[in-house]
Amino acid sequence: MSTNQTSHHQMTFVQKYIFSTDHKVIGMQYMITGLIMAFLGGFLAYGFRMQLAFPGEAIPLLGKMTAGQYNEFITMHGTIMIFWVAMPVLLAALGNLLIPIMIGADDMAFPTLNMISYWVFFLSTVVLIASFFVPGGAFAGGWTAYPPLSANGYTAHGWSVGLGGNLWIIAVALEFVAFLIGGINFIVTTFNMRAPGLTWFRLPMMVWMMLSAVLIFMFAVGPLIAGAAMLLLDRTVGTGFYNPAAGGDPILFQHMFWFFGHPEVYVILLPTIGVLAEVMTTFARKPIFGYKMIIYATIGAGFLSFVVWAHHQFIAGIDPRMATFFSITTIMISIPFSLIIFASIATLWKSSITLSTPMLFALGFIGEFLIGGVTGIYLGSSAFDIYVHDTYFVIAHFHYALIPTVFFGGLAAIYFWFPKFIGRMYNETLGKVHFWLTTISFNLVFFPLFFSGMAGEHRRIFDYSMWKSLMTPEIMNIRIISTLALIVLFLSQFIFVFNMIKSALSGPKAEKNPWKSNTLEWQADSPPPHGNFAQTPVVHRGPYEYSVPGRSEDYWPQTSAN
Amino acid sequence: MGFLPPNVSSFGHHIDSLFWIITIIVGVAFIIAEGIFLYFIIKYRKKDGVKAEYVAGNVWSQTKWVLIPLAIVIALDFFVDIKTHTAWSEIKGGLPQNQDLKIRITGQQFSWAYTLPGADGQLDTDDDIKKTGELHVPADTNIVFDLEAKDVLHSWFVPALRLKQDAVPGRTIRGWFKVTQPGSYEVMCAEICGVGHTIMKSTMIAHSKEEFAQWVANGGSDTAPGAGGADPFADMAKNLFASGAGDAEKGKALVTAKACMACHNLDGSKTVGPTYKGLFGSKRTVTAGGQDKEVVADEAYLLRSIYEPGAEVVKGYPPAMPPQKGLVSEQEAKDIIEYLKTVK
Amino acid sequence: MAHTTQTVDISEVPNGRAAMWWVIASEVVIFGGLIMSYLLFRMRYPQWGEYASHTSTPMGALNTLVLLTSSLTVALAHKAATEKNIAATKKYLWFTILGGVIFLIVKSVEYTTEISHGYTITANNFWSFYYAMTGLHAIHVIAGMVAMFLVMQIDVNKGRNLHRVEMAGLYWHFVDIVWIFLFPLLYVAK
Repeated sequence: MSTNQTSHHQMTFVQKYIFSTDHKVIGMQYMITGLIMAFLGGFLAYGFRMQLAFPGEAIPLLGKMTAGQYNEFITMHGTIMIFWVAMPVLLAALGNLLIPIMIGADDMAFPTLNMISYWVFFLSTVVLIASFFVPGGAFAGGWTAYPPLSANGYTAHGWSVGLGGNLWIIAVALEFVAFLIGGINFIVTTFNMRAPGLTWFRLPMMVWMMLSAVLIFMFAVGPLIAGAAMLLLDRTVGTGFYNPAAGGDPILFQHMFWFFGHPEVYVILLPTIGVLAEVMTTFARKPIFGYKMIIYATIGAGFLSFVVWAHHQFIAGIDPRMATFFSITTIMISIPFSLIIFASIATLWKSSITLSTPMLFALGFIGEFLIGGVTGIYLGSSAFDIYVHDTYFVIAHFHYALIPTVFFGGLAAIYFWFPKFIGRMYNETLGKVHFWLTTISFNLVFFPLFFSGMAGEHRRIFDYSMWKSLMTPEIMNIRIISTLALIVLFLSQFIFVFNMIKSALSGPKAEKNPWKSNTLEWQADSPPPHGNFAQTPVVHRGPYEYSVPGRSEDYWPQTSAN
Repeated sequence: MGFLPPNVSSFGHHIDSLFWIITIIVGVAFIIAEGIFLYFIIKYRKKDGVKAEYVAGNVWSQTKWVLIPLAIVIALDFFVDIKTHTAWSEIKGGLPQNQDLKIRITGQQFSWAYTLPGADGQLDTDDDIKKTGELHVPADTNIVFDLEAKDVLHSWFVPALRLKQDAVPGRTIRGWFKVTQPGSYEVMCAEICGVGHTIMKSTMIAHSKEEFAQWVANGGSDTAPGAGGADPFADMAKNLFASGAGDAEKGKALVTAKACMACHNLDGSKTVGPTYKGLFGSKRTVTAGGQDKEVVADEAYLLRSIYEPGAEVVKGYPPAMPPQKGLVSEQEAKDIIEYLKTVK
Repeated sequence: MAHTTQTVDISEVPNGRAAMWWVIASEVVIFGGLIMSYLLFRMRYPQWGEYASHTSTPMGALNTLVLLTSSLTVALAHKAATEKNIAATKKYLWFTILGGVIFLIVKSVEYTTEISHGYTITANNFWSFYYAMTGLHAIHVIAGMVAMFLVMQIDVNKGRNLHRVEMAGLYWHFVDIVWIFLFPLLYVAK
């Protein structure tokens, strides 16, 4: 990256790439940390899937697995994929890279605070990884950390008892603090630093979604921070907040966890909706269908997301009458998201589609997320949930919701903005191979799991050998197919890594606006210098003016006066 | 119809029909949505000289194409809500009027313990029948259960009954079911409860009403009391060890792989189950059939402890271990015992 | 604030104040989670009223008075800062910090008495909540004092960035308001 054009004084390597205050460098730091963690999370999945497909056999690279290790692997897989992949890549990395440049600002409002945010996050990553190596191993109580199990069953407490679990809580808490600090910038920058003419309803969808996501995050996470602190006190000092023998209540933690946990899904989903809007309009050469409608639906979904949490607890022993309320609100959440998906499909009507790699991933998101969405109706129905709760049906469902969101959405974004932030073009053929291998193997991993869930296969089981009804040849085949497909899925990602590294080093130079896109970031150099723009851009129109009748060009940048 | 296992509860048909209602509704919606989506992708590929049409979707004549399907979605949502409410109310909303049998289910690391009333039909009396790992119930009877947990969360899950309920320490959760067909059904724990979560299995055996009455009359045994013969485990031990010693190395690997160490340990401390340290050949006091007695931990004793752990429980410990029949082969048991001989 | 060369504060709220509102909002939900949990227990167990009678209402009332006074002094500091009166700003900031110190001393005396009577954090869940909530609040008091001290050393002494006094004041008012909720919940309601 060259910073020659700026008036900034010469910076050392450390200032420029390590302790940088440039929003783009911080965004890349979040991105790379998140992607490395994705490989770690994927490798953990490889470990426990191999154990399920070939129980008792030695696993290549890992050896024989024990029940305790299995629980550590599944717990850390969930934790890493949600908190150390989805959050940093979709929220922190994309938000940092895109918010300032999309609104025509030179940087975030508080660059130093932004740097602190990343390094707190980095520290949390170190603490989390360290927890694998402490005596007793990593936390193994499931990523939802339900007490009393997560409080050592109240048989023992102290800082060194289950050190892995204590570190796990500290790591998650630090991570929340990092994103709360980062959130300050998202809000203040968007409120106060928009370029002249960039009114609220001229903002790119991406910025709207980031703003909504970070607000939802902030309001949802507080109770869980309090809840996690109480859990840590229970584990270390010996308080009894969740200990029934001491008058505490274990269900309380579930409420705090899911009061955060459900909105968290939208914290991850909204940035991907933003990516979808940017990528689809560019490659369909058409305005987004119902811009304001989508924004209102998002705000509605944001509010609704705070009153659905107990659908994770239908059978947890809550009042049965509450279940009916939460079942109705949960099924209602299909309304805003159906609207958004319908509007996306409507955007394709009479469009002019180019199936480039980012477009493939964006369309792949719609196609696959629909499966995650409709299977949510089964689980939102409290009565049917009695049967499929805590089975592989749930696992298949939320992977169909989260993998399209995090991986398809994230990859669409990475391919789409790669030329902008790296300054070179990626290899389109490798990108398409990556897309098809990812899509096919992803479906082979998770679609069969719906059927094992319907057969009653319960979660977090290390070895099904003792369950006759779950050892039929059909279910065993499902386990093997799913595991082999996972290995293909995992290995396919190395094509992506190769493509990214090779293209960053020797890909053809990218021009300012290779996709002929409208939003402000495409008016800056590729890669943008420190400070982004030579002059403050002035905005004349909304972000999605494609194929406007009467114009010879099929795009109309936000900055061009006529 | 293939996807779900056979249903044997009186209310399971609600769940199964909900499954089909939802499948048909979302299946049709899904196929239409994906169909239109794929059709658009194919039809509107970029062609030379053809510009996309400028459709911003901000007037009713355009938005109706999205909002009318949305209204249909809302209507279908409420239809699913209503069907859900009916099923939920019957299964979890309350208890049936006729409560023919009251039982208690207790989750503990890592087994399900069941308490049934004896001949007097009352719980918490002297003739209660207590079983770990096996639940005997009569068919065609409204059974009300009190679900409790001793240590951590568990979840009582019987796929064939379409019933699942978390067990929460400190709470007694009441529920009910009615089995429609005699038979033997798997019971699982569906909430992660620790390192032995995998082995937390039990069996529900539904008898006909007459058979169940006989079973209760026998004090919780399939045969009348006093009908037993010689100790089968002494014979098993004799046969097994006639061919020489087992492989202690293999046994060491097995106690780890089979998650025995979740409850037992090697350092002599007291955890969920008794320690392995100095176990072999030691004298111990066990409770068998309500009576305390002294036994020597020999091969036959260890085999019984593996295959029928509830028969003789070391005093001071809960009858928590699930029977390992079908999980540990006789050869494996032999190797494990060989290994236990070496733990001093 | 370093890089606002080309863009301007286009909303009514300046950057610093917006950021402080964000911090306060995210803290409100953290304390909110604790207070809601406490209330749920309190309603379930009437005997918590009896436990609460062992907290010292006079000391709590004294601390409420101290914090309210310090809120007044920090407001005066803000007023002095807007008038660019550096000496007065410093004086009132020191008064506010003094208020924080008195608050912490009283709190320590309370803790000591309570612990010596056996009411430790593990005595029962009321006391666990008591120590968790007041402890978290005390950490915020300390953080507010450190923030004011730093603002004074880095900015006020050199006569620059006087708007930061307002931020420190906002935060201090928040810490005060949290106490206004804790005091009746833990001390008064028996």
